[in-house]
Amino acid sequence: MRIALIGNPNVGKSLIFTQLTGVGVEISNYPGTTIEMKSGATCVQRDIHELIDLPGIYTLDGTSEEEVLVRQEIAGGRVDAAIVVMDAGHLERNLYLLLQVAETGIPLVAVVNMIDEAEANGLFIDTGRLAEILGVEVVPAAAIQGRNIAGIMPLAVARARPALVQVPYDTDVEAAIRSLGKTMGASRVQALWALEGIEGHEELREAGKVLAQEIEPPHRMTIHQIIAANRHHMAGRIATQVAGKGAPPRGLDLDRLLLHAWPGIPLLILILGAVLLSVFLLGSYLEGIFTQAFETYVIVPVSGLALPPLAATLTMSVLLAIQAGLAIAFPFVFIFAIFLSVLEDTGYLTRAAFLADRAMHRVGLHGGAVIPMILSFGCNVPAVMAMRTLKTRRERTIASFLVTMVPCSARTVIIAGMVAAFIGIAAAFSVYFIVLGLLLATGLLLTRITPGEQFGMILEIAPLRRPEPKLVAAKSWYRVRDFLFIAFPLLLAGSIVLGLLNYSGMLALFEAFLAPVLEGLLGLPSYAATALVFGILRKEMAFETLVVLAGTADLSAVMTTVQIYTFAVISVLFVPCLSTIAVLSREVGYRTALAVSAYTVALGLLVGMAIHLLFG
Amino acid sequence: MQTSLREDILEAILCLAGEGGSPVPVAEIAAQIRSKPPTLEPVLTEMVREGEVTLQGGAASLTDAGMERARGVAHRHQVLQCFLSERLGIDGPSADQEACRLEHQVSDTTIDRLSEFLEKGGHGPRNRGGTGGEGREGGSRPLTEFPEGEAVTVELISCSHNLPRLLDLGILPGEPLEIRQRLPNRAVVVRVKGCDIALSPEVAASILAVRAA
Repeated sequence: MRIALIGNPNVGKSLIFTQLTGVGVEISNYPGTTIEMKSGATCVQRDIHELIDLPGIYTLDGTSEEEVLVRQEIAGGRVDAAIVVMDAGHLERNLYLLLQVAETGIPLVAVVNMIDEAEANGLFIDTGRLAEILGVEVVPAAAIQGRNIAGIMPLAVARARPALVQVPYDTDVEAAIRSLGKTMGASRVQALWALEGIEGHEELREAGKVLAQEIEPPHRMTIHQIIAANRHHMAGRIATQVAGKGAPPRGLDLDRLLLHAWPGIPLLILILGAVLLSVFLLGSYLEGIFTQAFETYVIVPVSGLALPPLAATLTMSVLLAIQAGLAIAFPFVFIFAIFLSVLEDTGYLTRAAFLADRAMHRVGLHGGAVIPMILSFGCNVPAVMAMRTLKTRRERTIASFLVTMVPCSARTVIIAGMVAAFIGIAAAFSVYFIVLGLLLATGLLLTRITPGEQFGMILEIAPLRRPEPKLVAAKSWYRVRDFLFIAFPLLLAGSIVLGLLNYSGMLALFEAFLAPVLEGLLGLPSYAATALVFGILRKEMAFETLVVLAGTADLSAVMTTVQIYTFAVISVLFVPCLSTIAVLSREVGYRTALAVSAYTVALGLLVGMAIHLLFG
Repeated sequence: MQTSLREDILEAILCLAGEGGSPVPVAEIAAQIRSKPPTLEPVLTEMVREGEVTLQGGAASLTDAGMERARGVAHRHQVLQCFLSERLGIDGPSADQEACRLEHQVSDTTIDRLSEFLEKGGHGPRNRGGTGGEGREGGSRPLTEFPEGEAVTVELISCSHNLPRLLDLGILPGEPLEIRQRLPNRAVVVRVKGCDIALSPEVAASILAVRAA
């Protein structure tokens, strides 16, 4: 059987999924989408069943990518049974989704999760009564303690059945459902979706539209409002029958602190600053150890082997790529992933989004974009992936540009290693100011020229919770795995291509070809071109390659201060790294990825030229 | 045409700037009234000359005079929209558009009478319970105008077709809400059905509510 977990965001679906599947979890993308599909195998009485974790949604009849996908999975006959997970503390809102799932006629069982949290707040839920009303099995569960989780799968396999509960709609809507059923043979749910104009063949949708237009005027509401109001009403009625009143949650209301401008905003800056700083410090410490160890135990012995020149070049390219991958992925990305998962699971990220909403409006985004922007200081790759939370094309386009311009940890290495070391701290900060200033200017420009409508933020503030170590570890691991699978093959391929180009002497030709641009317009030595190209592979390699090509670690001996500064600014602005471009084209399409690359190259060269003209 | 565009601009700045009256980028104003910055710029320049608006670095703020006029327009819009949808039964989006056109022509006397009429008439048929929960200051106000901790009931959501997420979360006409938090920029957190929902200022401004009894 293929069984799907379905529920609102933040109801503990992922934790239940992790506990039910254990090993053998596969993460892939739904065909034609960027939405992740987690599926795993579970064993019930020696039969293997597939469990899938559908994305968290609020409604089945929406038009967002996730909502359409879940609707089609549930209604398209690809899923044999559904496990509807609800949060005991927010039963009414969660029942709204359950009622919609019930309408599709799919066999289901309901899980009332976080029953422990609700009971601690004095809220008791009569699951027996709920089962009677719904006409399906209801499991009271507490995933954090593992309570009753084991019983879910056997129940879903053996006892899942279509729910008996039915939303009584407004008489006009009911009449329309009957009429669509009689004239077009539509089922109840097909008729409803036709009325809302979201599914069904053209003829049916057209008929639905005509009926909806007749219903709307006397009700003074849109058909969506009428249907939603009826469902909410039903959900509310059920909730009051099965749930007690419950005391107001928690003694101390932390949100009084976290959500106010004071001290919320200073706290936000403090928390983010601390996270970035610790990622950077811990990351560079670990990176040093990893790189050093790899150098000593792998690279040095291998380069001692007497390999034929071509083989030596290829081996070295592969080893360099592995070293680069390890040095970024584990220290920076993994540590960042852990911090991020903690911030996410405590519910703090939604609060950060609320506080930063205003600032983000300035650059054509809203509070939701704060999350990718924060991420990008660590590494642009997970940041681009986090842009999925942005709903409109316009927002994703703007965010693509801004996120990839944020100086990530690798670019910080260039700034620290070149500018701070050879010119001074003040100069290093000025590079940050230039980059962040250009980022702001880009945002202001893009708000004007990017087509599409701007929508405000409507975001549920997730309840504050203690993060669950197991889930944090799992989430962080998924994030790193994601990064490894995309970045690693690319790094390998890119590194080999560069190695071969170098071996065949093409790189020298390329240098000679670009020499006029570099020497004339930017005032840089011609070998800097090679360094910049290597920088595409991994940002701080621009700096490392430059050192190798210059033949000395003391750059001030071979380059002037202005040259060092120009090179640093160009390589920081110039094209996001290869991994970022790859993820970008997967997430927002190759056109946007190309546009971002072209824009940043142009920006880097222009700013480089300006510096050369002004100071060179 | 020019007058109505100017009034639309004033209304947009009022809605976007929040209480602090912080400057609003021209692009945001354009987005709000579905126009383009190049169209707005000459009009804005004229408005600066007449002392209704100040422009600084591509962002506009209202002067005191501009603020007064903007409040007037916003009030006219609200009253008209309320009348059109509650009393005449015109559906939400059309009532909003209709109000947008009428607000520029109608006289203050008419608006005062209409506002009085609406208050006396009580609620539209949608209001559950019908316990007379009108704010004393004249009917419904945008969510952004209520103090923290206030219990309110949603009256009307303008442009609701753009905000389907509100329906999913249960923010519908007739639904009781509690204003949990608000920032100086007028972003608010409301509690609905036991869940806290954060709303951008422009979203919160499109939800009209009355104080609950």
